[in-house]
Amino acid sequence: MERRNIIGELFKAAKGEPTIIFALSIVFTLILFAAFPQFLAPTGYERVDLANRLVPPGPKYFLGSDFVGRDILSLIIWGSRVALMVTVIPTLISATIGIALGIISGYVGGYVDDAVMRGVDILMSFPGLLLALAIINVLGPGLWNAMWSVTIGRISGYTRLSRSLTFSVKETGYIEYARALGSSRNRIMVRHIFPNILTPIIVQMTFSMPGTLLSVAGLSFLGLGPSPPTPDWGVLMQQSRAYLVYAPWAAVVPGLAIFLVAFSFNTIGETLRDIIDPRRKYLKL
Amino acid sequence: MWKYILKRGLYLIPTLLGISLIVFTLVRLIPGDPAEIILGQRATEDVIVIIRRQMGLDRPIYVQYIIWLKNLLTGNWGKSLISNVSTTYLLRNRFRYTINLAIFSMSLVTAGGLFLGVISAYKAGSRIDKFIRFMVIFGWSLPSFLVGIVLIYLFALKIKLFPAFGAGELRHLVLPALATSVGGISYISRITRGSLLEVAGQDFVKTARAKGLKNRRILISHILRNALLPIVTVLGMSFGWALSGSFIVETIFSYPGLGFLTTQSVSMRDYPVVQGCILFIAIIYSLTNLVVDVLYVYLDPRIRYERGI
Repeated sequence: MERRNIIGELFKAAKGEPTIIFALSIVFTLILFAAFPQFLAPTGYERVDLANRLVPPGPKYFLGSDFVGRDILSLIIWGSRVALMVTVIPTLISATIGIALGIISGYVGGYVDDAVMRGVDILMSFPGLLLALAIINVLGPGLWNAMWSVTIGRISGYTRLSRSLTFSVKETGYIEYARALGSSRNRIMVRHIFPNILTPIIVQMTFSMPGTLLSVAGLSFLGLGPSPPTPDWGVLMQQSRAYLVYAPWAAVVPGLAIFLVAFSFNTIGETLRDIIDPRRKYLKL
Repeated sequence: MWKYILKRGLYLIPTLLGISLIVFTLVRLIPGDPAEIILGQRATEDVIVIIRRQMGLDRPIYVQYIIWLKNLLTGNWGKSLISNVSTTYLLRNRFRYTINLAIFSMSLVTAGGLFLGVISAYKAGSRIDKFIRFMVIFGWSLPSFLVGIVLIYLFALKIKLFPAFGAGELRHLVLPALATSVGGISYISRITRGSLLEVAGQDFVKTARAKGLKNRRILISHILRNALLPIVTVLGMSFGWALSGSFIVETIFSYPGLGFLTTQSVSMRDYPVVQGCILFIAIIYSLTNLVVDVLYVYLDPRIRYERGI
């Protein structure tokens, strides 16, 4: 496995592929919205206009208004900050912990490996949101609590992946060479194994980002995420559900926003996977 | 074979103990005194002391864990703080609803996922394959709560074809099962496509091709037989999928299964029921994985041979 500039290759792959261009521009827009909502959103997220409740999408409100007359477009733009946060932060933290555990487990082996793998088995016996719900049961609802609870559930995937990747590079020449030169165990793990198993892990992270977004949004939708004044897509959907008959857009538009972000990250992940494993493209029956 | 089953079964014990330890720790980490939580705010000091002693809360923490574990094993899972109904009764009662829904969505997921996966692999690289792969990413990215809301709007509110909530009849299952299946079909078809193409690259397929066998023949009698994870594995995965999705989907459709019970109890801070739900669902999930693992090995002679079982 050689190191490579996968971001550069990603942009190269985007040429002439409308889906990838679309996905990249959605991610770019999300970052832009999250960085400058005060300049880009038509109104603030707390501006209530009871005279214009549940207005359908049109010239006055581009994406309609919700049950207290807030502009949905503005809420989507303000909400992208939370969306970007819950996409990136749980992925980064769980990947960091998971990779560290996986490399140690794979390289050190023995009892350490056994202990870590039993832990992974246990974490993996909680399906879907169950572990997150169990943790929220202790911490109480809230944006950060929802994020922590999802983070913990995601660690085991990275541990498994980086453990098996460590096995595959452990016996290669350069690791043995480093060992023969007298490099310490920590140095080998940090300077030699980690950079060489990073590429497949980055692909896994890209696939995991939409997963954490959907999980945290799901928790907000259940009323266990951030509390109402915080602009959040999941909360907006939960609040607008009661008005589904009169104003379907108020619940559907934020749902579509979640979908678009998830779809873009998944598309990018798929592209990255084809880039690091080009063989996949030419497999045939 | 029996040795393998026994070994795999024994393997379950540390996992179950680990699950119980996590649940015990999480319950004990809840802020506040468990005795006060159970008694509510009106309890007097002396009653709290009595209950604390009864619950063993004055003993060291490992003794508390053993007492707690003993209670679980003897079927004493505590009572709901809200309805005062025993947790085991609630779990038993709600379990069959979850099973009904799971069976319905499992059949959709298995049929749809296998069909799309096989077509996509058979036509690998073609327009159809590209389209199916696009749809798979599309479906995979759809949040189940969005699908649920759209289904309710279209088929319950606009055309009144199926009910938006409730349970008991087949028609109640249709919308929740569809909401669960969209992601599951994508998941299974993706795995199927991958495993088919994996097998297609192996030597015996090249031999079959060199013998001059027709493509369709190779697909059916060489690749499919070797590549399709035994149908039980797919069924097991779809069951896991249905269980994972149950929390959100059951809540949207107010479907009285285990998932809805869990989210409701978390919102209402009904700790004994939350604890019961977490334990019960984790145990079912681990048992499912056990059965799938064993059947997988049992059905595939190659694995039995490799592992010397």
